[in-house]
Amino acid sequence: MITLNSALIVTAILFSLSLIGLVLNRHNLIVLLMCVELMLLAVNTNFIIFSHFLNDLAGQVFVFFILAVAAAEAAIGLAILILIFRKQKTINVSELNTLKG
Amino acid sequence: MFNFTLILPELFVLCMVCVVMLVDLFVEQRQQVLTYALTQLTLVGAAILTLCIYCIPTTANFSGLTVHDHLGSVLKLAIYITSFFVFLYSRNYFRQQNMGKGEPYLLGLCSILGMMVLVSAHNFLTLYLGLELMSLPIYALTALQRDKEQALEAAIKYFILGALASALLLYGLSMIYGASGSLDITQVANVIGANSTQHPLIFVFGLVFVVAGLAFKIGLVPFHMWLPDVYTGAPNAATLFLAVAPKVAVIGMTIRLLVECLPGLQVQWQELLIVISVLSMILGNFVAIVQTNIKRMLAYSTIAHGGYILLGFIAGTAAGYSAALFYTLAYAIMSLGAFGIITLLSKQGFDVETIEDLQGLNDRNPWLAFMMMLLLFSMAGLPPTIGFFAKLSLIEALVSTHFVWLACIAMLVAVIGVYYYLRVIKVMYFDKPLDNKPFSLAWDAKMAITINGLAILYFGIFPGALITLCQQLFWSGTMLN
Amino acid sequence: MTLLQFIFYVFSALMLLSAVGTIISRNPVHGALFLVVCFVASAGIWLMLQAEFLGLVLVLVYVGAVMTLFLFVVMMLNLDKLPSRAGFKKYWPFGILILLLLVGLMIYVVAPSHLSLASNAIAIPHPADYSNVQALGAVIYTQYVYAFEIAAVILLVAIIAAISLAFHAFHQDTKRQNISKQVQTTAAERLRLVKNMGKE
Repeated sequence: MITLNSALIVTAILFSLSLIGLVLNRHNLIVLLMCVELMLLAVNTNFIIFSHFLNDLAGQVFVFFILAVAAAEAAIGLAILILIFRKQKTINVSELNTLKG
Repeated sequence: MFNFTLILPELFVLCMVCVVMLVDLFVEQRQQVLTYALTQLTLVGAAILTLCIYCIPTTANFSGLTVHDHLGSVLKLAIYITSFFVFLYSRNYFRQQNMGKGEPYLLGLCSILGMMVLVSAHNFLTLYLGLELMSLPIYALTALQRDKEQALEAAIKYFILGALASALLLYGLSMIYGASGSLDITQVANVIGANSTQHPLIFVFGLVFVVAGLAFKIGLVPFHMWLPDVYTGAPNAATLFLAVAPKVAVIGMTIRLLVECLPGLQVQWQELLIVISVLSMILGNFVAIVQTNIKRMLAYSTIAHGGYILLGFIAGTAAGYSAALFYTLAYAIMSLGAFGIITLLSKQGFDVETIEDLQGLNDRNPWLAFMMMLLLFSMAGLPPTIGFFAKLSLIEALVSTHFVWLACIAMLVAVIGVYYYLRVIKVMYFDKPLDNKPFSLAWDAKMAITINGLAILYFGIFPGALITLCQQLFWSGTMLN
Repeated sequence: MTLLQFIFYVFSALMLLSAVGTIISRNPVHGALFLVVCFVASAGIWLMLQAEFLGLVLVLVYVGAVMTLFLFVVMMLNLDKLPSRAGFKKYWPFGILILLLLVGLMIYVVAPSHLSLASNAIAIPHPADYSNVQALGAVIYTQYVYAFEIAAVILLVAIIAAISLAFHAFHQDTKRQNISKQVQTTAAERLRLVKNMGKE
């Protein structure tokens, strides 16, 4: 059988990979959005693992709702991205520098 | 278990969202009077409904997904009142800056619904859904000025970092769920309380992520980098919206998570919060000194104020929590006024951005300058304003729990903070205006800003009622667990 | 190693490798496709964890709809050529360090000696006639109906926001239909009879 620790370690690696991708990525906004999706995937898998090992359905219900919200989030994110592309003809993060911070 | 009376305000706002949406679609109108009026009516109606059910004792509703208690009701009332003023201040701005037809009102109402869900959440699930329902419309609101590069950049930055914050929070919540086996706030608190001596390490691991997510959402060092950029880049009205009510809601969420759900891990989160709070107070106040952009300066002062609010949580007593809540409400009134004046001063094709834009405001509109001065005095924490009492009660709570050194740091940085607020006052009163035209306001905006400024003064002189209200919320009897 | 474990590790490796692919790929189309692989692999893991409904939803909704949306945007904006990854090259050792730190911490935290779950990591397999869909459906519309309604509002917000942001119809060069003109059209306008002048 799958053991709890190995499953949790896999999701931890996935979560930290996407976190690093998010922090280090300087070239493409769409990859940033994908990294956010990856993070949510890691969280979802985490909930499902716990739901399985606790024999509790609540975790799966939570994942159901996270999926719905993530879809909504992706739609809004892509809408903003399209606006930026229309305006600037680029989605390169390092070229978005009117705001210094 | 399913008591619909207790969620009447939410139901009302939801119905009105649909009404506003349809009315806005089918009514051909240039000025959007009807949409605006309906939006304000919604807020008034929701406030009346909330007051009607205020006295019903604390109950968990909808199988524990949501709770009706005084804390939630008070926070909701604060959200309605501040949002009412926000819409009032930004009405002209929305019209002049070409921010769509009724979309700003519609998105604002949706966001307010999210805040209501958030502050009365009693389960991680509703907490998360409320948080997202609050944030998603604000991302869109920030980007609504579609032809302004800065606004779009602020929107995408806000969006990415907001999503990151939610993901961090969720990761932490998943760990706490795994360790406790429940999503219900009371049940988690009971599981942690049951073995009060030894907590599995996984709780602490989850807690770190939860605190990081919260710090992101409040905008605290070291997770603050989005805040100055978003405040600066967003259209002034959007800045006004996201600086006021969402702050109250997020502090409400912090109370739900840290005080109601994880009191068993107080020792652990106290340590984390001390670091975050001290860093925020110091960085916020010092960096604000060198800013030339007024919105950016106020953004850094927001970071510092966030640090102050955390002090109440660090104290860890009922007095501390009520002081934190009092400070939050005081801060909401102050930032409402300050960002409100900035929004009111912006005209078509001209956004108030730098501090120089306020030059000689006293010559152009003495009353507005006087109100701004009151607000800035309050932010600096000078008597006889509400900001003074807010800081005082926090420091009292800290001293009574033997965090004297922390109280000293808070007072020292507050003194530094006075400098940059006074600089703005000096610019308003002693510099010559760039543009000599007197500036006049519509009657409703004038009345609103007057009420806002006098509220600062009134609660500064007679803070008793509000302080007592905040204290009652944290008496042991009123909480569910 | 049992067969189940082997399958789990295969799926995990696939998931992690495609996640790396998503993050480092230069071409966003490749990135999106890697992400699809990642989702499918994790759907496999979810199925093994007896979350059948969610595993299917992940494939149908995520891969089928959300990733299609991503690809659609990538293609529409024509984002195939991209600048160099200067930032990534400079900072990747830093990234590896964070990765090792986080994962090391996680391994330490979930070590069996520190982890004390209520039912210490023994999952009871469901009987053969157990329906995951039924079990979820039974709670979503009763116990979680409040959350369900809020999720519906969130989707409404997504619609409103996406339309109010990206809707461009009243721009001059946008092609659109004039419905009333279409409806009022008559047969005479649509059909023109011409005499066949060909050879008879």
